[in-house]
Amino acid sequence: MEDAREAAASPQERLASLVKEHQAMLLRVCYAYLCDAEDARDAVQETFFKAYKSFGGFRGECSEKSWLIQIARNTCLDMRRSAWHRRVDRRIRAEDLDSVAHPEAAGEEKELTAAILQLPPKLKDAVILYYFQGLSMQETADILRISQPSVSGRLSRARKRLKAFLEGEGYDER
Amino acid sequence: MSDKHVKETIQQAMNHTLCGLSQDPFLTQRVLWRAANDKGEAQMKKKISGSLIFAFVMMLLLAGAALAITNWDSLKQYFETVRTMDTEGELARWSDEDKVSLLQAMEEAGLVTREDGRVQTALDASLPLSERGCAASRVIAERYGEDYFDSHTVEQREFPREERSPQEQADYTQWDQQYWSQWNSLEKQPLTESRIYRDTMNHLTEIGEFPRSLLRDVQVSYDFDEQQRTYTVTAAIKKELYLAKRETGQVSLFDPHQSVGYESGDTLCFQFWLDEFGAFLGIKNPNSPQARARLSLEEAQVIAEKALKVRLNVDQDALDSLPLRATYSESGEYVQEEGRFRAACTFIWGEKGDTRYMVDIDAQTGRVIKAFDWQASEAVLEQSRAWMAQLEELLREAGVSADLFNRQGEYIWQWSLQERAEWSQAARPIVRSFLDEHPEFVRYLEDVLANRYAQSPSSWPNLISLTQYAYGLPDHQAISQDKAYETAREVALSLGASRQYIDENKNHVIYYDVTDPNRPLWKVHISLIFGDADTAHPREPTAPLGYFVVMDAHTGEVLMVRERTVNTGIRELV
Repeated sequence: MEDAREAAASPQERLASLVKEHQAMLLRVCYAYLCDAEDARDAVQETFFKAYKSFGGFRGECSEKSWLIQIARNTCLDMRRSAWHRRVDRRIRAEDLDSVAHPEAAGEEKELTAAILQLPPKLKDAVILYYFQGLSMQETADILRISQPSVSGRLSRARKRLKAFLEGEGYDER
Repeated sequence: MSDKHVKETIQQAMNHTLCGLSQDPFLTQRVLWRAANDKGEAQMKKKISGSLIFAFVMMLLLAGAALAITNWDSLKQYFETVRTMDTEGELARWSDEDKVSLLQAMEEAGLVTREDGRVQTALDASLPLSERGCAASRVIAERYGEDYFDSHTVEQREFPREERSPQEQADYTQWDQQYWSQWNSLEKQPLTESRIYRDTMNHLTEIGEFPRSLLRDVQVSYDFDEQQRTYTVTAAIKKELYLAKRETGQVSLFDPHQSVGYESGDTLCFQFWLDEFGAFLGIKNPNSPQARARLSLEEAQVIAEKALKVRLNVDQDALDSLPLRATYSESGEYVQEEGRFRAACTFIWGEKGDTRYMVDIDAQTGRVIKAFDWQASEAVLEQSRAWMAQLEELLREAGVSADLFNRQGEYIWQWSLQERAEWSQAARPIVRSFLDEHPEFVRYLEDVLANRYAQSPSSWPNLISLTQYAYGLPDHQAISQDKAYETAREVALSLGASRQYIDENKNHVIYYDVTDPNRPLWKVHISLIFGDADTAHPREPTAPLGYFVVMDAHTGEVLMVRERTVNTGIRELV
């Protein structure tokens, strides 16, 4: 039913629907990669632009969300390389997140987020896709182009790094 | 805490923390507009990824390879070495030691033999390291390409997944899991010197652009801060060497006029931080407000509190009852001669989202840059909006736009004498009369210029300044515009201005002032300022920003010359 509706929708309508459904999620993903609100907005626009241009190429082999995240991630990685000056001193502290945080966000939540944003790129990548965006292990591995055990290894290393922030109830390695 | 719980905790924390990122309500329209205007020719050149090139090279190699080594046992040790070396990046960035080590491991795994003269050279410890590295580099590049590769791609190259038997695949998976479990059980990964070196090279070529032929000339040193558990890594290169090889338009971390590079004697340097495990923490910015500050936040706070007391009569108890945030920041004051905003100590009293008082103190001199009561500012702003709306309406009725851009989008500086004269004739009487009727509006605009309010409607003070004088067109008795410019140019040259900088600058401004119709004036601003991105005209820190020359329009007599060393705004340039 969903597919039939999508097929019937014009590309413009489809874009509007994608933007409505995924803009907020992509903004957060792009911010997590770029640590800058303006850059994140640029990246989101670029992502939807690329998606719009390649509607025809989307064969539905993965979920729409996963497809968009993949485009957004590549866009962010490109931006991080080209806009090198924007990477200067990108150390994020919890208080730096005040400008983008919900007023009710707890200090511990901001600290955990800051700690995730400070993870080494490979670990951060895995955490954003698997934990934050809730993609499956296979989807994460496909996007990162690594094996599932490698994803698992990165997640495990990331959890170790984040232990102090997740530790409220004691992490049980299972 | 289970994996599911970790997922929920992270999702909640990140969603909560990042939900304030404002969405663009017109995003769909923007994308559609871009798509409609995208004719295809402006599309970015598709960048072929390193891995794609690698895959292509690999296919070619595989096609021609007569001997495919798929013996898992002989490869296991090699893969472990490769992973432990944290093999990644472009070969050009590797140190000679790393290249030789990788080749050593390849030989031990039987992938290469000393029958190859290059392998023999690379592994001959009696030879200079640079020679060995060069030989190793050739062998490695031949096998894996010079583009990006890492342990994963090496494993794919030597042990292609599609060629593994089910048993080999099972062995590989078991080994991979074992490797990660051992890796994870290590408490910490001590950082090796070669890893620090390679990180430095990666920053040079990934974040910035750097001539590869100079990679070997970069000296790397580091300090470890026991307390912070952080490495500060310094990369340095001889200035002369770098400048000779630097390509036009190339932007490198070493460039001193960028925000990160700095000069130290005859070398150019930049610094970055790594944590104790080698995670990249950021590039140290020697030009950050904090790095430029001479005052501590504690010292500046005393001045800020006094400023509020003297200017706004705010007593200490009122301040003490409010939460305070203090930080180093870039102030709103642009310092032309430094090409950047002035470093400030910023103090904000009030709850987040409900700021009450705000003070910026010059972080070097302790001068009060601005100090205001946000609530009072908002009240005045409301009133000022009404004034502006009234004035705008009056101008509109007279067929004049209040914004200072012409139809070509050029700001009033770039207007022709004719355009400026027409605008002045139409707008000036309306503005002057309105100001006469609303002296409180004049005071408000003066206060805005003096940074006494939080909000600054920037074009309005400019508009008022520009109506201070009447502009017209030269009469038949006046010397020509070219002659006036030539006179001003000669004055600037006689005061030591660079001929090249004057002649290549396109930002000179010329006015014909007819405020006193009996004594019209030519006013010429000779600009010596070029854009920050204009590397052909770097800013000399001690040189003036320009010269403002006023002359009698009829006789050409120079009446006033002002050397501009500080940008004091539009008012002195009209």
